[in-house]
Amino acid sequence: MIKTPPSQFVVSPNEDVRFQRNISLVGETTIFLISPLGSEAFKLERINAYIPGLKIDDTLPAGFTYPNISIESNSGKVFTPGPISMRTFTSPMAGQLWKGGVRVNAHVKKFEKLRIRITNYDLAIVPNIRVLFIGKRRLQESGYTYNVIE
Amino acid sequence: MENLKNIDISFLNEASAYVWPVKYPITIEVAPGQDAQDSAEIPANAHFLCQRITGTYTTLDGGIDVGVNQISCRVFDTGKSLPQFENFIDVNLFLTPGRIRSAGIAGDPGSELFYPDEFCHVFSAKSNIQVTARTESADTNTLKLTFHGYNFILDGVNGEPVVNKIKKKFFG
Repeated sequence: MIKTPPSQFVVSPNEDVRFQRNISLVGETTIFLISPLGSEAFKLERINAYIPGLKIDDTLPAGFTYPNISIESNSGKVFTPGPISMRTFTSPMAGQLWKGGVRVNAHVKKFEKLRIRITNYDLAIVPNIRVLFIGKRRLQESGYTYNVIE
Repeated sequence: MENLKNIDISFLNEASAYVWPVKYPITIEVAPGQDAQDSAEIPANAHFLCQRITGTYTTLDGGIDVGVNQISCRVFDTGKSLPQFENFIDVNLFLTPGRIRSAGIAGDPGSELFYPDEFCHVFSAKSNIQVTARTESADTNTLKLTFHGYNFILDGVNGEPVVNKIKKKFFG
């Protein structure tokens, strides 16, 4: 008789945490450092973003186009090879379908900071965006192998 | 294929009596100029494994439905004293898209799309899912959140989830 452990009862010690930053795309390249949890290691898994002020279910204002951007992290790991339009992964706004953000994979050790670089290829279009970072914190430091790639 | 015939699923049958899907709803009337707070209480006899979050919100501002999100909120686990949202997050960044039209008020139609967002966290027994919301609008808006997951019933003797005991019985 083969007994199969039920995976649905396995709870990861890493639990979801999320935070938001308001970012000004005032230059072609915006580099910022995030240290989300201070004394806890952090794994960044998803990034979502939107442009404040746009109607959620309406059409875009006349003449409006989304900025083309790229996102990369420490050691130059590129999550969105740019230029890629923000509307391909962003939160619903102006009648878009929900996309839930872009999947990424970056690790931050305790007391370290994650560097995110956003390049705006359309400088005249959007100076400010709101970005949501979704990831997992490490609640248990021991007994769990955590492969830090970067 | 031959091996599949021999899989023992009796564990699932026995464990299902102590684990079941549950939803914890929270409704907050978010008035301008002040933080509004509400919470859902996890029962004393179960841990709650949250897996997804859904919700809706209104977009009133200046007496009309402007269709632009004005609400941000935080989620806090009182049991572990852990913030799940490190700061206030705009609700349209994680709801899907969540905006509903206010009845009887002129404005744009609301979308009815629905897509639950992943939100994995264990809220322990007797803790609270505490949500604090604020708005940039001049009007009061409504935020409704629902936390979807499973309740794991606890053993009355040692306070461990009953499924752990069953699991040990089956798998050692």
